[in-house]
Amino acid sequence: MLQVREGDVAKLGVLFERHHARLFRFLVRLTNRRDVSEDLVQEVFFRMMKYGHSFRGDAPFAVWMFQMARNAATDHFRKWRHEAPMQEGTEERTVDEEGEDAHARLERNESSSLLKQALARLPAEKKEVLLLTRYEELKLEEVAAILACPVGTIKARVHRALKDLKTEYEMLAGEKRRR
Amino acid sequence: MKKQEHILSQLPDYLLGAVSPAEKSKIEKHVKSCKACNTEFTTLTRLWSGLGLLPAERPSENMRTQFYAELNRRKAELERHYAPEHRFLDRLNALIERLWPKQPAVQFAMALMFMLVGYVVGFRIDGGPGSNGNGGVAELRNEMQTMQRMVAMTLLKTQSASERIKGVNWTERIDQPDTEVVAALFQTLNYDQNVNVRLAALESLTRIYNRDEVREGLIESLPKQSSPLIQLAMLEVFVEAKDTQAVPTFKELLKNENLNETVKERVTLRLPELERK
Repeated sequence: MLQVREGDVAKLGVLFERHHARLFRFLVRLTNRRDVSEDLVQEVFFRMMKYGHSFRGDAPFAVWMFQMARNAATDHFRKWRHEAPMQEGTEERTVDEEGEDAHARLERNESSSLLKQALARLPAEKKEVLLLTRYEELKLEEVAAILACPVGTIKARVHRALKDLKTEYEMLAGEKRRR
Repeated sequence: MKKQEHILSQLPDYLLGAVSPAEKSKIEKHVKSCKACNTEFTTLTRLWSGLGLLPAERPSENMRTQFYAELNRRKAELERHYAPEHRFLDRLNALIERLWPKQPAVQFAMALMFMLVGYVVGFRIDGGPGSNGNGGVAELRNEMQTMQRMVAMTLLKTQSASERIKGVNWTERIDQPDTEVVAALFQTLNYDQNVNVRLAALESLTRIYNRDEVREGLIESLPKQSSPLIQLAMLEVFVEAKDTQAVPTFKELLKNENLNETVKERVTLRLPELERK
């Protein structure tokens, strides 16, 4: 990243190869939109080029990257207010290497499917704290730096988000049983 | 109830691995014995584990293609921006920055000079009152000389040796340096701490050697010089000018026991040449 900051634009490709999959995974779970997330990933990398001077190198790169990703997502949905994040189960399907429909494979595990839908229903601020603490292998202090709040607040938010996830999950399970 | 709340409040620490092994085992022990805690704790722990099992979404290959297309477009744009025609301004800025004096006093003198030059030029173009056009160029020249003198005198008083050398060089732009400028040059030749500045002053004075006060001043200056470089340079000046009046001063110099050997040899060699003239 320091080389990108020094103006070596070609090095942005190296950063992209190293981090784009992780960034996409975070954004697609945050927004529930594959198309928007692909655009946002690109936007984040070009913001890195533009605002490289703000990367001081005294905090992990991931902290800076996820801060930019959050800002890019917020800016996107502020600009396109009419464009609500896609609801669960409406995103495009992906086909894995064996040619099997990934969505269909997921459906085989009913609880996983319900959990995914429940996660998609959470508001962004609850979803992001779960995504950052559960998937990104970040320290609590790093998550606190990304979300700009104390570590104690992060712990409380994880607890509340999990409780809400449980509520959403139980509602979905009830709806499924009634069908 | 209080005990139950206490344990549940530790759930995030437990899930995030922020508890010690002792605390972990204490929490697990409590959960086994407390039914209310057990239900909540087990459900949330299962959800947490379940989140870790969700398959990761992968981006399409199209995203990579689009990214590199955009990256190449921006690279080309940057290259165009830093093309030679754009770099010309940067080079011009760097040149001005290098030439522009660093000392505030000199900057002030330069600014004043430009302002007066602008005023005089503007006045002449405008054909101001009392101007008949014929004396205009001479007057402008006088103004320039005054300004050059001011810049030279200011530079000669600065702390920086290179700025003082510039000051000496500025005196050479003045057609007929007045007594104040000549005095300043002698002051530099006799007392400046830097030998290069003194040499520059000697060179500048040599240019107006035909003036009596300069020739006499140089002869008077010779005994004050301790640097062999200056002494040798002055010897060359007098020999070149065939100035026999300097002979007694050089003879006095030869009596000095501390005189540099090279200087002594050189003066001994050249002095008969000067005496013959």
